[in-house]
Amino acid sequence: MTDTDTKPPVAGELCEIPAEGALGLLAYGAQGLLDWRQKRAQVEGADWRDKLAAELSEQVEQKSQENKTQE
Amino acid sequence: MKQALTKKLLLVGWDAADWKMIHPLMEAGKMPVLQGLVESGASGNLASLDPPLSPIMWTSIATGKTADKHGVLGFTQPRDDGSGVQPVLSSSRRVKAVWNILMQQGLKTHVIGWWPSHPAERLNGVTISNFYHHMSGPVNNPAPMPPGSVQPERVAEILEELRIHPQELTGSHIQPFVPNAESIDQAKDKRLSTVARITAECATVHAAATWVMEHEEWDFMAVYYDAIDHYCHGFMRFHPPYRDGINPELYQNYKEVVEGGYRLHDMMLRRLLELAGPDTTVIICSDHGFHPDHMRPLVLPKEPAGPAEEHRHYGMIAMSGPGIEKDKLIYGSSLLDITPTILTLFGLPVARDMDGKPLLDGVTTSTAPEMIESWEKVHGECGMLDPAQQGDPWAEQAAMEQLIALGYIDPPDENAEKAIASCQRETKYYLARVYLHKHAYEQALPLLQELFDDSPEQMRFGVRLANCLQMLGNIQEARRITDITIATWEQHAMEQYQQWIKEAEEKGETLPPEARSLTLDDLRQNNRPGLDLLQGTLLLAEEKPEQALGYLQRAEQAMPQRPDLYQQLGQAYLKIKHHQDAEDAFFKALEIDPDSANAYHGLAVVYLRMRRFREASEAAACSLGLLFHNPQAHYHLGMARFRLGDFAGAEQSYLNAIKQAPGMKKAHELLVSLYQHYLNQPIKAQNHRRIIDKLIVQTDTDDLPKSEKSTPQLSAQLSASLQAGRNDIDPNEVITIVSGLPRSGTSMMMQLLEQGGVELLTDNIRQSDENNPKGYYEFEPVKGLMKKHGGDWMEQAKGKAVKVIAQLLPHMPAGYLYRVIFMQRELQEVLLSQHKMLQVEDKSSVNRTQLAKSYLAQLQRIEGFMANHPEIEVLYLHYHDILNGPVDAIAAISQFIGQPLDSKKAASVVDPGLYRVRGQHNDDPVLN
Repeated sequence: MTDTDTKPPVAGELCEIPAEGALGLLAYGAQGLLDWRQKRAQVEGADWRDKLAAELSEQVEQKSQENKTQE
Repeated sequence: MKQALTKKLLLVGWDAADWKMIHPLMEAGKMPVLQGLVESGASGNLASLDPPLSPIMWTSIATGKTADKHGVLGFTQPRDDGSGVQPVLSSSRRVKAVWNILMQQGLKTHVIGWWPSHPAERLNGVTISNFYHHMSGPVNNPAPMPPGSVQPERVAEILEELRIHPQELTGSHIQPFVPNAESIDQAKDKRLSTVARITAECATVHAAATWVMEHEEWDFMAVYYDAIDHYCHGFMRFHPPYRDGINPELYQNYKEVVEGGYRLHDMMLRRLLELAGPDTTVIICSDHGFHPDHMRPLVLPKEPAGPAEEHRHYGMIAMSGPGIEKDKLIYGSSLLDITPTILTLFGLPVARDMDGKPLLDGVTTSTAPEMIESWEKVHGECGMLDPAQQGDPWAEQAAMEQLIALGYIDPPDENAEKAIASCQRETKYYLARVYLHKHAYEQALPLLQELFDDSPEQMRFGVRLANCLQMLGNIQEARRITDITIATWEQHAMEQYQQWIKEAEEKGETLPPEARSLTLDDLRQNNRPGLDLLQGTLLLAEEKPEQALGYLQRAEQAMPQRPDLYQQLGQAYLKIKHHQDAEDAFFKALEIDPDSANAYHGLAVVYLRMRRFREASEAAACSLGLLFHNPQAHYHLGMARFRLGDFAGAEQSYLNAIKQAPGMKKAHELLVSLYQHYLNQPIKAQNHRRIIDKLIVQTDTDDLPKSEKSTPQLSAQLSASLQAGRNDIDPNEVITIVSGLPRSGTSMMMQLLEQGGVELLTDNIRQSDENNPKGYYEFEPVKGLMKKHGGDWMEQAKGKAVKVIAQLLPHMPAGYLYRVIFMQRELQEVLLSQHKMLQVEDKSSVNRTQLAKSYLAQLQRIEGFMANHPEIEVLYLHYHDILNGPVDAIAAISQFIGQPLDSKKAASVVDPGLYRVRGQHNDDPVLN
């Protein structure tokens, strides 16, 4: 873990919220979590959870196919 | 009610947080928030409990009581409907937690994620259970929060929203823990998912806690984070330094996870402190530590809750804010002390039925808190659950799977009956361990006997049963159980091995030839160190130290990093009086484990034997600083302080000893002596003497070896007589000894007894003279006590009084009951009287200053010797007291020896004219 990872947001200061999130935002608690999800929704769309679920499902399917091929 | 030291308090639980990890991180600047808190407040070790299982311990933290009182006894409990087992629930707790007490006092309280806390209690604030943060199902359609996870209902919606699914996390969240996460094949290595799950759950608890702090009024909040424990169980094996046997690739991938977990907690702490504000007292604590170094076991036992073997016995505590001392180290604290400390900070009384004490060292008050009998007797709404309230059993499945994944519980058996039986067996076992840890051996014994009878193949039951029997003094039965345990284990091991061979053959596996030919001796060899340690421990209890040493030294070669092994070695060397070897062994234990309270205690006993009292005092203090609840260590500290002339300190130590072990007769006896002769408090002396009279026989409290002269026949008689009370002892079985330094009034006392009607054992070989005109009343064979068989004549002294000078008292033969009337006189007078006597006999040539020092040292040793032997009772009488008040003195003697005396005739012996040396020493140039 680097110092960048541990740099927390400072209360009252504006900061850029990355769409991919950061540990510092989670460490900030409820407000950091909600702000991150809001940003994510802005960037990825309100249905970002559905997209994520589909993406993960596709990855699992792809891996399963690769394993079958190897066997 | 006392004045509150704080108006607001935040209690943060970090499961498994350990100073051994934290200190290096703070020194490297990687935990700046905690460092600031430590530097501005009080901190220290927090002694854990046994068994070191988190639901038990977090309940003890919240209640200030041990598990036999609070009722939470493991990870699981049977379902009421008999359909199987379930995670332990908040309804298992049968006493008030600190938040129930505070709610009753009108304080607004919130509890987030405590273990166990499902279903959530109805406090006057927000309660979030430990089922809240587990999420399952797909990220876009997760399973809902289990009913009962959150109270009150009005906050359920927002709190549901704050739950974080592990799949939400991105590389930005994982890479700080696993820098090369992208290169890991997650189809084969599920560890990244584990990191994501732990982090998501931790952040969920944190989000909920911070939301409550931001949006709800509060006076008290308790937040529990389990993540450090989970990071450690999963990844501590990869924490640097690299150890042989660990996959190098996995080490490289996961070596930063544990440190990452600690740093995340420091970051979260910053936000908690921001929201709490400077007017809030903050307490951070853990229930146990986690071995980060060579103490980590390489193999975990194959038994339920085996992972708990990775736990270290000391957790941590750090406190800061109003009511907390600044820059203070806290010593001797245990996790039972948290609730009493919180109550004290709020100005509330501590209950006598709590097992902990407030940590007054760390708080800004020197006055003891108020005490009440029990908070259970205080009526009023407190938010506790009706035991009839249960959660949805199916909704608890996720929590069960969590426990299975962590290795704390076996997967549930399809057969519900077997699962319930297993759960009940483990609960019984944990309760027995709670009793053992409290030294309540009589209560542990029937539980362990049942467990052993039902499952003799489980070595853990046999070992603990043998240990319990040993502590109760039933060595013969302990030996029998140990032999059965070893034989049963061997049989079971052989059967399992043969079963393994058979299964391998059925599967068509090819086994190497040598695998088929393992013998019982081979199996024994593989487990020899553990069996050697077991045998050595039992042989020590059987007073066979030389044999014990053989086993222990062999075990040492095989397992050189076991601190408990070196403690046993130290005890063995002590018993054979190899003090230097004993010291070396205890130091070796401390090299391996610098926080070993037992090793420090062992050193204290060594130094007492070596008469290095300053070092004994320091070692005992170190031991107690780590583990305050140890009556034996308090007792030994008292002995060391006494030898150093710190009588007030000795008094405090003995009082601590009897507070923790009220039946410790020797401590009471030493207090009698202290109050009578050094602190001039005769009433207190009398009180303790009354307590001694009422005491049943104590367990042996001294690590010093029993006298090699003790005989089994006397032990039973002595036990019976001590149990019955001194007045029931047959006077014809007791030997009255008149003793003291030569020329301290022993002859006068013999005359007094004779005139009072006591039969003496004398031979009048030494005739009276001008130094003793009324005779010496001696018995010539006494002078041969130091020789072999020099005490064979003692049988004829039964029922009589015989004179034995002080220096010969330690050489009296064992196997008898003695009542010693010990004469005391001013040392100057004694020396002058001796000098005059020897001048008359033309023998006076000794340097009296040196003699004085020598006598003082001898008197201390003799006093200690008598205090350590329960078969010797002592009445100290001062020569002047007898001269000035013979009637009172005779009454005391009569009560002591349990025989009426002819007071008038006895008093006639006292002749003030014999007191020829008084005042003369004032002109003596040597003595002044």
